[in-house]
Amino acid sequence: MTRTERSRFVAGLLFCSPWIVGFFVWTAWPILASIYYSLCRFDGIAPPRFLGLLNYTDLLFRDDLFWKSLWNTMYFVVIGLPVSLLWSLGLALLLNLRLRGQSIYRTLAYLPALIPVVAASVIWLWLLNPEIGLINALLAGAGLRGPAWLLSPAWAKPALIIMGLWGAGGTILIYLAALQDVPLHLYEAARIDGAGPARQLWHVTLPMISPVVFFNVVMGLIGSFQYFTQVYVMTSAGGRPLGGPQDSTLVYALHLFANGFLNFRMGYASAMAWILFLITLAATALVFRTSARWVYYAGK
Amino acid sequence: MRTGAPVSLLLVALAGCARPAPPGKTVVDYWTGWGAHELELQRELVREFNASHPEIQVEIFCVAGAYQKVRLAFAAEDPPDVCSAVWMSELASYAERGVLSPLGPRFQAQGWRPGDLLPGLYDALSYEGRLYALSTTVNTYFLVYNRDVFAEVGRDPGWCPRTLEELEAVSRECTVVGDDGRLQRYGYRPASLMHWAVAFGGSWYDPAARKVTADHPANVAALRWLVRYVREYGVERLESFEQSFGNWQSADGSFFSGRVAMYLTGEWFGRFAARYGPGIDWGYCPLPSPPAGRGNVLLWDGSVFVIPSASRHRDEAWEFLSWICAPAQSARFCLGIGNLSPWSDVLRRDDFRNDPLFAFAADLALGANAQGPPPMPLWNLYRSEIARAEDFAIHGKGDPEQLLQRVAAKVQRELDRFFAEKEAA
Repeated sequence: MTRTERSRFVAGLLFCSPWIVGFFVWTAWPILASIYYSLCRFDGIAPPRFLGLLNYTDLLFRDDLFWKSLWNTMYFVVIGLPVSLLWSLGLALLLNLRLRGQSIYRTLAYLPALIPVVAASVIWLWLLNPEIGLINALLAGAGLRGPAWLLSPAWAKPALIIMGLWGAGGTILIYLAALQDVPLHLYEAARIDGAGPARQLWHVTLPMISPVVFFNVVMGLIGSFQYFTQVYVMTSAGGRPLGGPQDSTLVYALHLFANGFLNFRMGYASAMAWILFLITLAATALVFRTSARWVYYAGK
Repeated sequence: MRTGAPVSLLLVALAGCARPAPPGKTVVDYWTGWGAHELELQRELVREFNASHPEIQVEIFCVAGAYQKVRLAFAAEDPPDVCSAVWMSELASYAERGVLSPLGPRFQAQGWRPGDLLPGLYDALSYEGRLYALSTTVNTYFLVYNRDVFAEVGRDPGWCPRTLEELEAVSRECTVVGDDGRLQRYGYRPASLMHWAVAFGGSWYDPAARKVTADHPANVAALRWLVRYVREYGVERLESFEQSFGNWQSADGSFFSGRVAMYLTGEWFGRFAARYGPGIDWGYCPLPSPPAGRGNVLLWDGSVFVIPSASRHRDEAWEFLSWICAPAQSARFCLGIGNLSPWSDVLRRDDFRNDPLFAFAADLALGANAQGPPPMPLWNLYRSEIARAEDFAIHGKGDPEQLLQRVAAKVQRELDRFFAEKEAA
């Protein structure tokens, strides 16, 4: 390396240094430290005290809310995620049709994704209001009596999933981009072979966009395991207990937050974070393993 | 030189973080949780202190809505010198972890006695017998009712419920249900098991025995009463209706919009009513309690002033703290924002007694049966478990006694372990 090159290299490093330092100090180090904290009694104030695996055994065998919160989160993963993916794909297919004013529909479908999650959550608190909310007013117009939504343990999770569908513009956009990439000659060939719209969808569209479906499944999986903001904003309003009614929306990340930041149990929360990481990792690995069977890469 | 630019940028950025103390002065960092007009009044007091104390410069920093910062500052051992952004309910947790300076000896050296404060308040500001905080405001709670609604249902507008039976009866009379079965107005909904358990004669914690008493028979009785009361109206119907209430600090609030006939509030209500419900004719009286329970229950809470043990200027911090919380400054601040002062003598002053509502609230505060949050280090966990038990009980998901027994067992187990580990360490 010449003198000039070395000088440029150092200058480059220095210009990158805010990111490098920031990454190691604010991301890498806390991640590593949380492994140690998860093995300690650590309240976030006093120095941590090593305990071994006690936090982990407490979580698995003593904390009834751990299992309840895991169950609630699994509901969003197992029911919420497929519903959301199918909804987004369905809308993307409609938005891919050649229609007059299609660009307006596309804009409208994406628009909610621009609204910050907290603002959207507050808007939906009002929409889902059982007495004066727009949704129950529409249902009443159709002669139906709407449920109590966020006040009902049976309806609170479905209500949150419905709200998620409204804000799925980002996923729709990714699907739409993939749909527009499907080569037209494949459809032509399918039509010549006598395939109707349903067979074209099944035999041409879905295989061709399967890498994007795979991407959305993985991202959706990670997002669903970390589901937090909406439920924090929407269920703690009015001083009600977090994750209500009757723990029906106490998702894993909310229980983790309550332990770490409200109950002075940062070590315990760190252990929860690592268990969540392992669960997410296992679920993602499973999706990756099965992907060879259903994801089609045209180049391979 | 090419590397010169980023290096000098970094140096300039770092230089911006340093703040030189004015020569001959000690800077006292003061974090406050008050915002808006209350913050302005705090700033005015700080300016006055700085002008009258040439050797100290207090720098005020607002952390309203960001109390989490305080805990991070404690964790980083870099807290401010004085902080009024700590809840009274957090005192035990912080004191137990050794991050607060005890203030008892300084309090006495100032010539103050525990009895100078409102009954029960010195204990509420202490943990295991040591004083850790001072306050400059306190709040009371009482029942406000809409006289027009009382007249409408045939009650004397000057009358007020004195027993739980009367409260339930008048609440029923004031309730209006529409043709569609939905509530249009209700009388009064008792909330907060925390309060009612104490009013029924119960308790949440025995500090001497370090015993969690969530399943105290009076607590169970209070929860049974709450459940019966709420279920009479239909929990879902009641909660759906409550979801339609606007912000309580607005004309759309439940009481000001006429959707609730009785309302639990405090001494600040007069100012709110003048602003948001000027046409409403209202009266006030103490919240009733059962004959075997405690009357005039007040649960102190709210933010308090502390000096962190990591403060580098504890003497100067106390100089400021003892000035801003002193009776004269406390009276000014309280009259400015419409709160009560924690000093008994201040509440006997004419400027606090000229307003009949303030005089009534002051008498409540000077009465018996006021107490602080249970002095235990796991109060946040305990409080959330109580709220969960209440939520389950009023929705008919469990027997009140069993739910409270479960809370007691769970929190006791955690508390025992907390103290065992502390002793082992």
